[in-house]
Amino acid sequence: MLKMKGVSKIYRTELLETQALRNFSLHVKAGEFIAVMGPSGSGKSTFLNVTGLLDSFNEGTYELDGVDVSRLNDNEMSRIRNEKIGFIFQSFNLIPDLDVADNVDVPLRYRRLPARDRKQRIEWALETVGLSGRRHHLPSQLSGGQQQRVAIARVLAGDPCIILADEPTGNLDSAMSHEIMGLLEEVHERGTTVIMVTHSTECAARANRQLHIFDGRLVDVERVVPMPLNQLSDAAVSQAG
Amino acid sequence: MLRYNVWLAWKSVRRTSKLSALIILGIALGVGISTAAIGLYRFFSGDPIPHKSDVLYSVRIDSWDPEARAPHTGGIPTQLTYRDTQAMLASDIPSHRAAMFKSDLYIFPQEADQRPFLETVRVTSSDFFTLFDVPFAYGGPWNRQADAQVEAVAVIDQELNDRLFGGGDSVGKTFRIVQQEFRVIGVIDTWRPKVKYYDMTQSPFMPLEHVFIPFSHLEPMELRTSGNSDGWQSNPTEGTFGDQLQISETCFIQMWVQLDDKETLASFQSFVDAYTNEQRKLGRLERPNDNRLTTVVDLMKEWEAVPEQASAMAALAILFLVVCSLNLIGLFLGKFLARAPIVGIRRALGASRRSIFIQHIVESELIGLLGGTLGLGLAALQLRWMESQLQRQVGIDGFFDLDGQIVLVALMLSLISGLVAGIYPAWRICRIAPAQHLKMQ
Amino acid sequence: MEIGPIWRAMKRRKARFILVAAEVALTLAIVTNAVGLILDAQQEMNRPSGFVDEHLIRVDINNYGQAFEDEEYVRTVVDADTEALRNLPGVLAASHTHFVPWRGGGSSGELQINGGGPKKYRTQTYSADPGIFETLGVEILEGRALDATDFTADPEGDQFNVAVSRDLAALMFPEEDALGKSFFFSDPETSFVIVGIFGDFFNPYGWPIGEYAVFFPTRSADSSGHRFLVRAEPGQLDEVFGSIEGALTAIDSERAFALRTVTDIKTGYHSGSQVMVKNLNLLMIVLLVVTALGIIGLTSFSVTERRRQIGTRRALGATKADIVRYFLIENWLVTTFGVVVGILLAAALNSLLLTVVAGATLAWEILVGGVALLWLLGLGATLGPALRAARVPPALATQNV
Ligand SMILES: Nc1ncnc2c1ncn2[C@@H]1O[C@H](COP(=O)(O)OP(=O)(O)OP(=O)(O)O)[C@@H](O)[C@H]1O
Ligand SMILES: [Mg+2]
Repeated sequence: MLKMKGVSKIYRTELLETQALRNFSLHVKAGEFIAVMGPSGSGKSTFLNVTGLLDSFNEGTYELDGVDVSRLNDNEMSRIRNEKIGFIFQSFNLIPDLDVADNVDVPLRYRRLPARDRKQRIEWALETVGLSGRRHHLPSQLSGGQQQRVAIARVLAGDPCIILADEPTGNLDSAMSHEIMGLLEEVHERGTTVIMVTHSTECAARANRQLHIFDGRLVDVERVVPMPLNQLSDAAVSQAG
Repeated sequence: MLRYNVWLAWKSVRRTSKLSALIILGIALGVGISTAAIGLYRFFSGDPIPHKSDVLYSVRIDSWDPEARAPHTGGIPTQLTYRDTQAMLASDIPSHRAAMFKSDLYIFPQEADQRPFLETVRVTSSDFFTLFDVPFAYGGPWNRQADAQVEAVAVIDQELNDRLFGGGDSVGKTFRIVQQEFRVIGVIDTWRPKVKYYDMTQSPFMPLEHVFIPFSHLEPMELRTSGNSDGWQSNPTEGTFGDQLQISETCFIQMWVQLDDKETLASFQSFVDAYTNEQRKLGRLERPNDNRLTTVVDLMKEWEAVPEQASAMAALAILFLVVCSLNLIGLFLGKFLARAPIVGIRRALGASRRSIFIQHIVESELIGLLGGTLGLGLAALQLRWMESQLQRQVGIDGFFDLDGQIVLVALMLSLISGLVAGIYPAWRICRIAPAQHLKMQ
Repeated sequence: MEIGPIWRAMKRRKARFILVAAEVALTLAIVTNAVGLILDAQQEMNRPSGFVDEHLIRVDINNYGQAFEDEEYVRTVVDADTEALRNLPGVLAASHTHFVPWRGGGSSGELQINGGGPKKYRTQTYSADPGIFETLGVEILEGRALDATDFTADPEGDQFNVAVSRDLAALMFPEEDALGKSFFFSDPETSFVIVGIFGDFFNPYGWPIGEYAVFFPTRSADSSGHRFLVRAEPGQLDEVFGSIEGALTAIDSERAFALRTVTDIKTGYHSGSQVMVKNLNLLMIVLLVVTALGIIGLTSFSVTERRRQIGTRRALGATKADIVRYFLIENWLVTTFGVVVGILLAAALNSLLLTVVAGATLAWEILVGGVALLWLLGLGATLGPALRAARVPPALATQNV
């Protein structure tokens, strides 16, 4: 699914150079659920950005779903982000001027799907996250947890093969976190690869593999985690809906 | 508090110098172009003699063809015939009265080496100078006796005084007009009404005359008008010049009277009507009475003294200012809202909505004034440019100079556009919730 | 990217878009009306007189010598002047007349057709010697030109031959041939017989009689002076202009001369319109610049404000082109809204202007041109900020501000 070999990322500003990733090598198989952990400033977000083709890297090779990414131009990268990758951000990043349905619609529009198809996907995704009733609400009219669920619906509707989540529960309280984690697990169960940065060991414990990053260096901790409690997430969904 | 606000505003202008410069330029362009157009309009339409324009009346009599209406704008002739003028001059009802026309005549300087030159002479009554408040540098106008006795006296302006006598007090010096020796009785000081309101028959913007001589010279010198003369009958050809003049129906004389109150106005109106009724009995003036006493301002309106182009330009320029203000609203909106986080902090620190609002209005007014001042400069440049193009029409230097009123107009415009443009953005920014921008983004 | 979501997003930030739309609407109204005024003024300025304006010189002669009190002497001087002018090198023709083209006025009178009832026709009236048509470069369309015998006819007589302009002939005799017909001015005893019809003739006048003219074969000289129109051969105008005064002074020096080219007189006549045209052009250019700056300003502001949103869109798969397109479509919607309102405003403004300025009607071509111009202006002004928006890095989406 994802192969990184010797990837390095250096941020250069006028004042200093920061080596955010040092000689990163990683192999992720399809269907894995990976938690990325590490102290603040260690390079977790950078790793996710490079993985998600949001940022370039300086050295090494990176192959995503069999495609050598370093050869791609901006448009091709956009297309891969659009079709294969789903992002979930810590601060949700919904578009404030668009209502819930239009927000979920955004990546589908860029994929230029026909209107019928888009409509079905939006319906289904909102149903899955339990927000069908809030289709015409603006992000500002939703709670943080609801906003993150919209963000997840946006990912679901796009049906990506890999989901990258950067502290998806960082802005939420523990009950909400639980709910969001449940949704992620649900997605994962349907075979989607998930890479999630988190500070919470509780959340990380629900992944089936953990990566630790210290000062730009990767420490891979492989661990099999028992499957999460489906009942709990189901309950949360029905509650919210 | 105001000083603090002005200081904050000035700091903000300096900090965002690029955007502020853009906004100031926007106001300057708007104010500049509209001030120039409004100024132009005002030059043409303004009351040329405001302190007495309500007591000065032009006299018109419908002496036209019994069979047809006069083709002039007002439907009656713009000028009087010689014999009607004589009758009007005979009335004592107005406190002042003057008949006048202009004539192109040769002036022979006393110096033998100077060639004679053609000059436009205003042939008029002694009251001309009191009617129109003409200032004198030396001497003064001739009196009514000089009118009656056809005295060879002349009033000249500074320019001709320089040309004939090299300037200075020339009262008593003489020069020749055609065959007649004239004695200078007064020298006019600088006098240049923007509109030549006492004779608008050809154009309201003709140059003023440099020489004035008594009206009674018309007959003995056999003077002819070089202005408009309108007739509906062929001129008589029999008899002497004087005989012809007495029976001619050609209109070529402008007539002005001063009527100081409503009663005098009414009694002079009935005097004129009585005169025309009288004439009708004698077989003249067969058209129904339509004798008009019209003030300077009304006459300018009736004859559309303001060039239509000037009105059109003024209308477009005002709309232009509106566009500039809309533009500014947008720019201010951007400028102010970019500062929302800071305002949020200020609000959290206890600034009231009112003080935030005032702070931003002060800023927009400051910018408005800066732009207005620059705009005034632009307006002056534009007017200078127009003047250079209209030199021949206007014939007066400094015709389009900015005066106090125009400066006031420009400053008002800039304050208004600063206010109009600032209000909505200032209102938006003062409604920012204290903590809204502290939390996110 | 379709219009739907863009439109829905715009509805949530009405204020700024309404501002831009209003600006566009007013700009369209102002620009189209200004163009209308300019085109009208230019049409007026380009209106031909029918004469060879560019080759003509007006010569005013003002006498002060005592000798001119004698009518016979005046006559000899006029003849001598005419002869001298015609023989000047570079002169094609010269005419003793009191007509001056493009002065904005002249002389006029009201005529009645002999046997044609009480109806009166106002027309311009000018005296001229037979050389006038060649001098002006005006063609005789019917009948004949005035000749020396007409010119020397007994001034005490009761019948004179005259030439009238084509439009006057058509006005007086819409159905019949005007040649040979006669008319009179106020005195029915003196009649004027039409022997020639000429054209084209246009000389602006205070009254709407610019195309109507009668030329009388008479002298207009008196003791005070007389006037000539001189036609120079092509390219000889300056030379002729310089030599006229000398030639005439040689005949009698006790007089002053005032020479002006007809081109100069015409420029003076049009200078008011000229100034208006220049000012309106200035106003239009500045207005378009201001509007463009306004659009650039507001779009830049929007881009800055929406950087995070743009980053998110990029992360979700928008290409750079998608981002540029987004802003262009957004602006296009605003501009379109503006021009629709603007067309109505333009019509309203036009009817207002029509009460002040005669004939400044708004042609639909100008409106179409204005709409196209504003569309282009809007897109052009948006392009810069839109390209800047496209450079927002997708990684911005993950930064926690
Ligand atoms: N755009 C950038 N320019 C320069 N340096 C950067 C940039 N982004 C990140 N860095 C630096 O790279 C290093 C890694 O940052 P990164 O955001 O990946 O940390 P993180 O592990 O996600 O931290 P946190 O847990 O606080 O989110 C940090 O030292 C940071 O200062
Ligand atoms: Mg991070």
